[in-house]
Amino acid sequence: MSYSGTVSTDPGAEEPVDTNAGCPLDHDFLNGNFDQHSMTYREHSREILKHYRENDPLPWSDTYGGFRLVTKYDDVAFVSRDDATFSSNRNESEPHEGVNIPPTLHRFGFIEMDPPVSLEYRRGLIKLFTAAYAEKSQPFIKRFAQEALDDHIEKDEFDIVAEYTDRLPAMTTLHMLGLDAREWRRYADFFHHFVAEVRTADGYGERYGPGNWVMENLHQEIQDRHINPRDDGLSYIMALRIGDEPPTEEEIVESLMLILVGGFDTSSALLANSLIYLHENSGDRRRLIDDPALIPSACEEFLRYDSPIQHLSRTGKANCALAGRNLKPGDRLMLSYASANLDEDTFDNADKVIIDRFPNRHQAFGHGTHRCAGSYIARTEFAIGLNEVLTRMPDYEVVMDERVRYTTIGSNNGWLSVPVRPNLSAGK
Amino acid sequence: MRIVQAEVQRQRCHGHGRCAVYAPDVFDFDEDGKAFVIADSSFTENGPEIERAFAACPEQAIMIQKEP
Repeated sequence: MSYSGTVSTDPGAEEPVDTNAGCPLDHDFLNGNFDQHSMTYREHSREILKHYRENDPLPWSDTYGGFRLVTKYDDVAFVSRDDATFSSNRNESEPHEGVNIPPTLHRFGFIEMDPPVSLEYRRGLIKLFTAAYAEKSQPFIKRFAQEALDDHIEKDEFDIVAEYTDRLPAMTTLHMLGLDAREWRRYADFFHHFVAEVRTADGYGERYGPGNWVMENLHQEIQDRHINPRDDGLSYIMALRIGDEPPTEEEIVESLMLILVGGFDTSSALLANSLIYLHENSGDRRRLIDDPALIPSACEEFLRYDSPIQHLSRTGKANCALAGRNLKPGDRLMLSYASANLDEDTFDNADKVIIDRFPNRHQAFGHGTHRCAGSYIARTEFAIGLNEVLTRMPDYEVVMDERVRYTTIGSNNGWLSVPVRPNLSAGK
Repeated sequence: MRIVQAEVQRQRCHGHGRCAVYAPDVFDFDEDGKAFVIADSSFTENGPEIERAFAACPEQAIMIQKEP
């Protein structure tokens, strides 16, 4: 068999191995050119990741400065648990560090720091992220969900992403931070496109860098809290002491951006993907309507199956072995949560959605010290958000042909728009 | 077999919260967001729940001991 692609510069390759046997995908993509932001990945991510798990579980990619993709569940967990060997830190003088490949416009707060500093941030913000806080938040999350549906449910058709799955987490997150939840659309529109576009696209830095409304507004809110501290998330961030020092204004903005990006489109993607799945699988929809107690386990299964954040990255800090390969300091590793969550060696019938799957130790929220801080709030938003739709518009249908997916799912596995018809009269 | 001991390895726990969902009478979370075993909880009365929490923990942070 011949190779049609470019010759890989894989530093660990001894001799060519035909890893393409039986795979319908083009050789170029599979031989050292994996690109998580490509259309090929967006359209075929599950088969690509399966191919790698079965044939080459730690493939090399030449794109974005070079990295290896970690595809097996156990390997992703192993790397995530060892912060000393696999660093999250991003140092601005080392552009190829941090958890994003290619790097984002600026560092994303404590997700791009290592312990002990990252843990000081987490401990300082824990009161926003406990199960108890999420439970206490249920009334306002429910109110946001009901208001959003009130505004649109009488229509023949509306975009449930723009008007609901974006709006609910945006309002919730802004409310937690003490920012103006009535401005949800301006924030949501910004972050929606910020994560949906490829970061290397022309003009990306101008569109989303300093000077945009969101960033300017965050700086203003910080100035306001210096004078009028409140009992809100932004004030908690500003009251942090790292070592003995308060965070700088830039560090405060980074933390805000992390919580906003982490809170918005991730939850939106989860809910949107679930609503699409339940449109196509009326049996499961009926089960959840008849027994809402299944919603929490369905939530875990949708997290596993659709992994809103498909991957985050690490930088090697020491020599070590992984999946039979020797790694050295400076090696970049992309941890594919999407692939780990579909690993047949960990999950029976991994490619099937089983809404009462147990156990379900998925890694959609990550693993180890950097695990998603907002997971309780996310689960609460999902449970309330889905239950409101299933209760008030149980016969909804998705206009499948008019859905628009993100340009890339490499940052977030979501949808730009998903038109739905509530079909309120159908059940009458 | 009866469960005679259940423990959370604090170093491994990163607060996924699954144990408190499956065995709420046995596991709770402290101020660091880490799980702990509630002091007066009954292992014998919550055997199946503890087994589920054990199976569900993504970090494999729960240790259980059964009657020999």
